[in-house]
Amino acid sequence: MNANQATAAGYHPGKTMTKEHNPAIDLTQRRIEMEQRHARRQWLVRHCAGDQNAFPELLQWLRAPLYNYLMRCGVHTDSRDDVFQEIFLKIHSAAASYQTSRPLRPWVFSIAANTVRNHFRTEKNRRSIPLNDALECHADPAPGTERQVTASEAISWLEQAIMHLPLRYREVLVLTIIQGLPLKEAAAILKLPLNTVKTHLRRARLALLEARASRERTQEHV
Amino acid sequence: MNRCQKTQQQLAESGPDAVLQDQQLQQHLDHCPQCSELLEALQQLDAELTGMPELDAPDQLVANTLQAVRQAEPAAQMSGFDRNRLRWASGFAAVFVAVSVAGLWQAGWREMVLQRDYLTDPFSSTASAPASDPDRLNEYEEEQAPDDHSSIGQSNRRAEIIENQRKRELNSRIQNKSARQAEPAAAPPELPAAGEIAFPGGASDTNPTDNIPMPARSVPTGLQRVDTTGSRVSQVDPKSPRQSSYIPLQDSSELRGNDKDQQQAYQQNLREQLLNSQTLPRDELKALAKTIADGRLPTEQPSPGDNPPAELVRIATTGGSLSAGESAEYRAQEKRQRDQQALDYHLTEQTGGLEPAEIESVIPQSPAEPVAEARFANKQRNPTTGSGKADQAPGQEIRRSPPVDQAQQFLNQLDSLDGLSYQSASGYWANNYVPGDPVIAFLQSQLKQRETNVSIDHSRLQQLAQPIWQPFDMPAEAALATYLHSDKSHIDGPTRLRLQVGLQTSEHRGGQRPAMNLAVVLDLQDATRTQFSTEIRALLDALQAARQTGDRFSLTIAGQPGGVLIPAGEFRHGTVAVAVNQMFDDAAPASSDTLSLPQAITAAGQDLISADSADSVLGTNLMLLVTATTWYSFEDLLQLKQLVHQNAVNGLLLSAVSLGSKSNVQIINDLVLAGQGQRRSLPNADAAKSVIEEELYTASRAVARAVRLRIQLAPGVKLVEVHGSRRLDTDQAQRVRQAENSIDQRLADNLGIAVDRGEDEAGIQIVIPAMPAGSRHVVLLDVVAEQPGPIADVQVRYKDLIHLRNAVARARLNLADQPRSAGKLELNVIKNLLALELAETLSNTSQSLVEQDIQAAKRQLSNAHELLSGLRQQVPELAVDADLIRDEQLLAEYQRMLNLDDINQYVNQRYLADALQLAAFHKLTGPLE
Repeated sequence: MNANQATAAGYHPGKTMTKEHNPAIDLTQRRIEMEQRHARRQWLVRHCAGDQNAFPELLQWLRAPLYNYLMRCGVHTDSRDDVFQEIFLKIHSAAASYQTSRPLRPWVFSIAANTVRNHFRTEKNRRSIPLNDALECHADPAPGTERQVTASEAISWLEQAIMHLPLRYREVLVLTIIQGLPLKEAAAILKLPLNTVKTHLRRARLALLEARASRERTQEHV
Repeated sequence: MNRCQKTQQQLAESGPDAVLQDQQLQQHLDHCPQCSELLEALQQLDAELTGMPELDAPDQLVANTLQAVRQAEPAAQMSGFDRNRLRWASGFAAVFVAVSVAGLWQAGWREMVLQRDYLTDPFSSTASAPASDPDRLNEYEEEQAPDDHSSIGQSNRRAEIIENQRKRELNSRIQNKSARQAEPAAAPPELPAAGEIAFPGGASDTNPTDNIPMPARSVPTGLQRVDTTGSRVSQVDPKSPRQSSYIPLQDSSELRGNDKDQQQAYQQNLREQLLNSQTLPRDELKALAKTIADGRLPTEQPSPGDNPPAELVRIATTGGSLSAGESAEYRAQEKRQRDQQALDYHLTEQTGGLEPAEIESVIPQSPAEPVAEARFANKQRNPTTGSGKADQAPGQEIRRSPPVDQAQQFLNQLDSLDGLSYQSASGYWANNYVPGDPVIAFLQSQLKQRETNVSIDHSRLQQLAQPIWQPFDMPAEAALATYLHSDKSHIDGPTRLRLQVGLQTSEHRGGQRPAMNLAVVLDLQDATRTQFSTEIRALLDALQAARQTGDRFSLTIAGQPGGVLIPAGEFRHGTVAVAVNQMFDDAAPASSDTLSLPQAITAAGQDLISADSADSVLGTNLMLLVTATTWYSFEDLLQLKQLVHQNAVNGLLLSAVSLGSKSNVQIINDLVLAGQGQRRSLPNADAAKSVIEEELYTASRAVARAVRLRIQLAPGVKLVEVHGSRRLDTDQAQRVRQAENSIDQRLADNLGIAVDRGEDEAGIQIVIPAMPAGSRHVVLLDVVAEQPGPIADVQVRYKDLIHLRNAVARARLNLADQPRSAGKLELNVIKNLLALELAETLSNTSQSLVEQDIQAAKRQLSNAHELLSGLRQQVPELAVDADLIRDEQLLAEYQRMLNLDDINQYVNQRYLADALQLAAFHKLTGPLE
């Protein structure tokens, strides 16, 4: 598949040309998004002001992304819950220092990334979590009804391959590809130069491709 | 760097999206196959990465986190002035640090810093510790003072000191870890107040929040604490028990000790009950108590009264499909087996020291709670509902009571604590969930082929015989959900309860099926081959039409002539046509080879095993038994079940397709339960295609396998009965374990779901081999609770085939003593109980008609009608209940038919008997789709 074919196949989820562009809908959509963003940024302010409902909303919004981040970064299941709790306690303690002029998500992920780094640094347990642990989650949104055995095997393999990456590559990969954050935002979260983030991402991708090729060679050999 | 390298770098850095933004890149990709290949690989990789399932935090963790945050010190609101002041402060601090660093640089730190390679690793735990930690810096200064002062020697010495410091810290951590492991499980009674926990911030970090002290929180008594992470721990005195301020997490692995504590408490409770018991000899009690205290499971002993080995020989009374002689033989077999079991038990107990007289009166299913046999003495297990019901002597007059009395009697019986006997709420219990076509498929096909001149509106009867709607929501984020409800909203003393455990699977199902390794075994021993030639042709044609790439089908025939008619790999259109013609051509010379059904199953199984591999998905190695046989001898059935069970343990499942309308439902059920497969019915050739498609897609429609339902009653809650189930004896339980372990191992091999079975659990255990998408199952328990508080804990462990993981669903029930009116959930439990009663009544009425006792049938229907009417009068919540009104209409319709003149004809009686039996199953399972 070349570039044109990729574009034609609709790989890029950009604006679809089949739908007519409606500026009114776009504007409404943008306004809703802005209001939501503004509301999210007020959560911590409300929390500091004693609003009992603010933190649960924040927790609900962040529980899946953060738990996912911990899981994909390889925080072991024994300590994952502790780290998860620690992150939110830090958010709570540092809520007063949050400035509403800045986006909330990078701020939170910055805390999460540092907590994870600290966790690995102090516990020295930068170990790969086993595949079964990776799959042993408590609840996740439905990944789709079409579950094929081959697809699930691929995902299982991918889980393992990600766990074998160095942490600095893994966190970039998780933030940008799996969490879907822009490179600049990931760089801000990880406090790394943009080019370093790009390099890490490139190496992570190539390492995964190499792992895949190696696996395919092994399967053919078997 | 050439163009290709640059392109590949750009693609790997910016992802496949980069091609859309760069015209030159697109042009290069159009002409360079190597780079184009990389793009394709990257696209696939990104698609897989983005398609990875998103994991969510467990609810318990979120709740605990929220609780921890709420118990923490309130977050202070920072004003703009504070922020500005902080900025000033940080500015001053930066200047100070810069000046200090410059000074130190000049003073000779340069060499040391340059020699320390660990500083280059930003993730090292001691990356900048000497510069930032004043305590360590002081310690360092003190240690280096007596040594020489040459700059190089000084820096080396400092490096050594730092290295020693790291080693000491490591040792300290190890000691801490050892201390943690040696600690008692319970949390210390007093936790330090805020600020007492040392958080010196061992490592400098760019994160401004890292040095924020963790607020102290109280830990509930009896729960274990969860360890914190981080270098802070190393500063705590290793000799003192480590104290943490975290809220304990129920899901954390460290909390598993609580279950042990609870189990120990329960065992202690059990031991006390044992020692207080007067039923068994004191020595026996002490020995049993010691066994329990040692952590072993209570000895499971067969119970001659309640647990006969009737699983093998249960009599099928499905609309009279068995002849009277066959039924009698089955009953005789059952009686012989029951007597043998009682004799074995008697001998066993004699050697164990128990007196024979006690065996007659006590069923020691569990040493803790002897069960009086008298309760079940007059019970006959109903094949439809599985529950017991007292037999009535023929011709015995039943006291007619007004509707209210019937209802009052029913309600009194619901709450009655008199004359109850209790069973042990432990061990393995029979699973009565059989996936596939409901039994009504058989009955429906039977009913269609019967002749009658009674005017029956089938569609109306089907509409009336609807199952109770169950309040089970489909799980959205898991393959299975469990629910636990009670018929009481509160209790204030010893109370009899009905617990309802519901299982509901997700609607998700696979769209494509894996390649199947299928062996068809045709069992035509009872029937002439030409009798079902149309159905068999249609079945094989459907199989041929459904064959996909990778499928491997074979055909084996049991009987004479018998043998492998179509070997695996030759199942093609031409071969099938020739084989079918040979099979049904009377002119063709008959082979003298004879193959019994067990031999045919063995041969087909060996063929399946030869093509099996560890990678094949469970359910893809399938044996499809197509049978028109209505009767197997007891020995044959026993042998078949053992064979099928062993095959299932080896990963070869068995499904059964019944031809015609005279198949024995119970035999099919037994085989399918042993073979972990599905039950199908082929009433005519038109249904062949759907039957085959359903069967081939079964492997991809199972959403949960190895479903282990564990119901643990709280201490003080006693089990009276599990409706529709019975406790399995040791051999049966062993077979269940084997089957479960085989599924566990198989799924670990081919789907990577970790092995997690092999150990028995406390409480009632029911293992269901597989549950397909969109299915539900209800287990009803009759219990007595002594006091308000926790009643039961239900845990369902299963292999989630949607998300490929081991998953657990839990439900708990606590009943308070504060009065609360019964809601819809409580009423639903009562309605389920009523549905069981009604189904049982319909089934018994059917049996009465088979026995041509019309008066008894009329009485049974009348009593049931009065019960429903009375309940609607007595219970305001049920007064306008649609389900009960519909049931009353159903009963009235059958009562009308029983009063017709034509009902005296035998043909009509049999027809009505089948219709009643069908209605009984409709009531429990719903009509066929």
